[in-house]
Amino acid sequence: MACRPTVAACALTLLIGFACLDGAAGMDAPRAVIALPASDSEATPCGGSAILISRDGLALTLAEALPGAHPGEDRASQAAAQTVSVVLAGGRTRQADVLRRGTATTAVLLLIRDLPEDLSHPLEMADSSALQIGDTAWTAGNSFGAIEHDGIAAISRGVVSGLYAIPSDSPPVRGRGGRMLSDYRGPVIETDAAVNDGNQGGALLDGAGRVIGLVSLGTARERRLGTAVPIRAVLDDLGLATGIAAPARPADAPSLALAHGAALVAPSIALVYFERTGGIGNPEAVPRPNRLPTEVPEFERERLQNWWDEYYHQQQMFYTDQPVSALVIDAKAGLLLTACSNLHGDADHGRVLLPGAPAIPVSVVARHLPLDLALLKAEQPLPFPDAVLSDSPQLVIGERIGIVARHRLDAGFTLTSGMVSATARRRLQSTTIFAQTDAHANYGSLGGAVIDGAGKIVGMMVLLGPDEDRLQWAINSGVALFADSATVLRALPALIQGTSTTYASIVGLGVILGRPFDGHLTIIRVEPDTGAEAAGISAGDLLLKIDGHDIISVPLLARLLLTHREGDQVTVLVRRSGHDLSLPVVLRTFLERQE
Amino acid sequence: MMPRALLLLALAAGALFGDELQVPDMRAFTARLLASYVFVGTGSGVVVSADGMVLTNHHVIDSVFDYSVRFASGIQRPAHLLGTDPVGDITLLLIDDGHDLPHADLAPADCLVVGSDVIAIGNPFGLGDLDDVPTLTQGVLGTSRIVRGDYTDAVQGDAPVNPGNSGGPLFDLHGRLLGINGQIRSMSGFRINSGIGLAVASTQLAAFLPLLRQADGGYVHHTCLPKAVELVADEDGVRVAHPGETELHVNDRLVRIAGRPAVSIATAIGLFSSLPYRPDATIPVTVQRAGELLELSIPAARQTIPGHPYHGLSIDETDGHVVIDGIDPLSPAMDAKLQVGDILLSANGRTLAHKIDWLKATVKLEIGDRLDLVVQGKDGTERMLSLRLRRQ
Repeated sequence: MACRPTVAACALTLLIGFACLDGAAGMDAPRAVIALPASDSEATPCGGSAILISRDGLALTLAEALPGAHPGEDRASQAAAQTVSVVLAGGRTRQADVLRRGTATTAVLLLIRDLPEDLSHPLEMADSSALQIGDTAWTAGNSFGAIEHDGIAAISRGVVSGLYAIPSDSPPVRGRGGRMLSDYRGPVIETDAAVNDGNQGGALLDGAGRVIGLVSLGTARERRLGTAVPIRAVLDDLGLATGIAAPARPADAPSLALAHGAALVAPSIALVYFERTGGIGNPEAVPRPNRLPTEVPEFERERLQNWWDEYYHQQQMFYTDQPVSALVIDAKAGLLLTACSNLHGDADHGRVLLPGAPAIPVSVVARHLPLDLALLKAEQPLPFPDAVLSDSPQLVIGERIGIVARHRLDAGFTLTSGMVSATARRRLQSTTIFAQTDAHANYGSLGGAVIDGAGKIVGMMVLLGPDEDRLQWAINSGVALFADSATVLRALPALIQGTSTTYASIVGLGVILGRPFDGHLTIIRVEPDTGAEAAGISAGDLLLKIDGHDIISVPLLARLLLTHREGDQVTVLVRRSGHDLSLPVVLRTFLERQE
Repeated sequence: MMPRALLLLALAAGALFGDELQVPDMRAFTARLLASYVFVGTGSGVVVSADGMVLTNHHVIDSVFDYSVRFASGIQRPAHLLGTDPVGDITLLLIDDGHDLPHADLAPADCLVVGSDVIAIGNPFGLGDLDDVPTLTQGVLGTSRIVRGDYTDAVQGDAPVNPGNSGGPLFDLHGRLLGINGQIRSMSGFRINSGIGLAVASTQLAAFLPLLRQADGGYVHHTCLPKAVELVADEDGVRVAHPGETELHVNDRLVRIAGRPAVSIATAIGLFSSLPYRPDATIPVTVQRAGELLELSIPAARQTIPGHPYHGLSIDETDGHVVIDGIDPLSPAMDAKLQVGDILLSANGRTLAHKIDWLKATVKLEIGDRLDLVVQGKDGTERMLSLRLRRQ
């Protein structure tokens, strides 16, 4: 029988119990992350995580990681759970007792019974208050049951992408089917390392493999990136604050360079609030689809879940009522650049938010729709340094870049890190060339600066993803397009003169395409007075071929149509009710998007 | 201003887990990676031999008949199917008349190290369909070799992977092929990057390549847990509950299967399925029995490919003959140039006189099995032919 120390004795153990995790020994860190499997009665596929912090078997987790936890919805059953099963590195199962619960956070202290000898290498903890944005961060946890399957935590690398508090009035975070994932509110360390269901309660590690936070599934909805409760807050809450050995390790050199650049650029990013003319959604107040019944056929379940997902996305993300980023181009003249997408369609007026001072009204001077740029002018000079856009950005595929932005007045700046993914990206039926990054981009990034590893502004974050009509695909997808700084500078003179640029006209069939079905594109609408209508194409048809070419994606269709002019006739093969029809369609020009 | 040399270290930033590796010339390095990348259907693929063998996912080519590939240069090349693995989700194509093609080398097992830097290349959201520009994303390996469902020898990476990355390569910073990206895990419902991308590991690719090359356009099979063997999990791992007809004993603790640790039931079952099936194949298993480690060699069973086997023929019985009265378009029967009215004399060695004979000859066939027929044409000539049942 292993010793069962009291909490007071454990604090001592914490001080003396840590192995040094330098160099290769860092590989041990995932072995000290353990799984809290979901209970059999839960419909969820995976449980949570916990971290081992003493040789005696003390472990830390969050209430949202306990089996049966539906935060905010089922406090009673949480309070009742006093013993839980845990899966340790190597796949061994043990029981653990809940020793203590926090009050300020959702922290939980566990004691694992009969901890095997070979697992007595607890995690070292580092002072999270010394963290800086851009520091290297790793997640290690039971994502999708990784520890239960593989006997070892899965890891992911990113940076500390934000340091802020999730406001107390934020709605809870929900997963598929409306299941509540977390209602944690309070200070968080945001990271662009992977955080998924199962990571909750697991480790956020610094560059030396030391714990800086416990991963929570709580997110700021305009960011929707993983967060962690700072380890200091957890230990304070549980009365174990003596366990912190050292400040968090600074980032490695490339991360430091990027972080340094971000800190220099951040003061030139203003927060602008645009009133939403379409109204603001409070996700919790709007009627929503019912929670999924457990007994539904698989295909029906998928449909219902997709419905819920779209609803949730729209409520959580699209109707987020937050200020957005804008680059201060000329502070004296009051000029700022932001993304058109930030204007919620048609906003013409907004205000620059200042800490502790009255907001400064701004109006939209001009828009460049193909580049998704909008120039704003403030009614008075702005108390910010000018952002200096590089006139010769060197974008090399594979080299590190970051996205610097702001999303709340009290939240500081954010930095997501990645690399140049592509440099000659075309968008559908547009002559503009974009650059592309795998740095995570979200609503809180739009209008922000893209910086290179030397801290130069090499672009502006304008499009979350490839297709603004399907934004839900794009949040943090690792596929984000930006306008490089030279392109932005070229567009600037016309914008300053008040000249807007609209989309180029394009040649098309006159149909709106929906999601692929059975490998084919579905026609969901036929526009009136078009070749498609005249040819008898109808909504619901599957688009198979044009002039004998298989059409398996919208970009392929666009590519084919680029070779045609208005008045050309093409042969369109559609499938309707299982029958294939070959129809001649005369092409005409359209505006890419009607504003 | 930071010196430029630091930027070139960008991808080697894994201070904790990654090896300290520099990419001295990023432009040349990524150009090399891109040269072996191909667009395939709505997904991706990678050239793995100078004569044009291309690896992609089975689910990328499952519903297409055009196997042509397109390089990032925009050059389109016809290709044909060499072999496919519907269970392990790997397909091998061969570019027609390929030679001296830039290609990627498979990474050996000791390169599949958790924490190492990786680069994925793909065609997320079909972006490259318009401009022939593939997308590169970076990350680290989040696991060593793992089992996830039918991906029985996979690695997990956090490089962003999205629809269109399927079949595409996952490289290390030496440009070695660590795996073929094929799945993401996400709870959000949106099929986009969650930081959990699963790739079929190079080790499984290497094990299946010889079979795929010789599959003549057909299927390859996986091994599976031998019949009647039952496993159970307890506090300390996985043990045998029922040995079936193998040399396993009840309560043997499973330590390693196919050379990999059997840490959970799901992993153990997956490991039994991780090897290519050959008639004489065995699965190495390390068990702990009465405190001793024993190395066993368990005869491998063949895993059935799920789905309905399909030949596309319908038959009738006329005057003591079994006669073809229907052939589906685009079916194996049509590919074999059978015709309505042909008399089927025998099937897999069984003489056919009645419908029931045909049923007996075909009822136990599985996807990928051959159906050897002796056929008498309408002109009276007899011929022998063989068609392979595929998944309907």
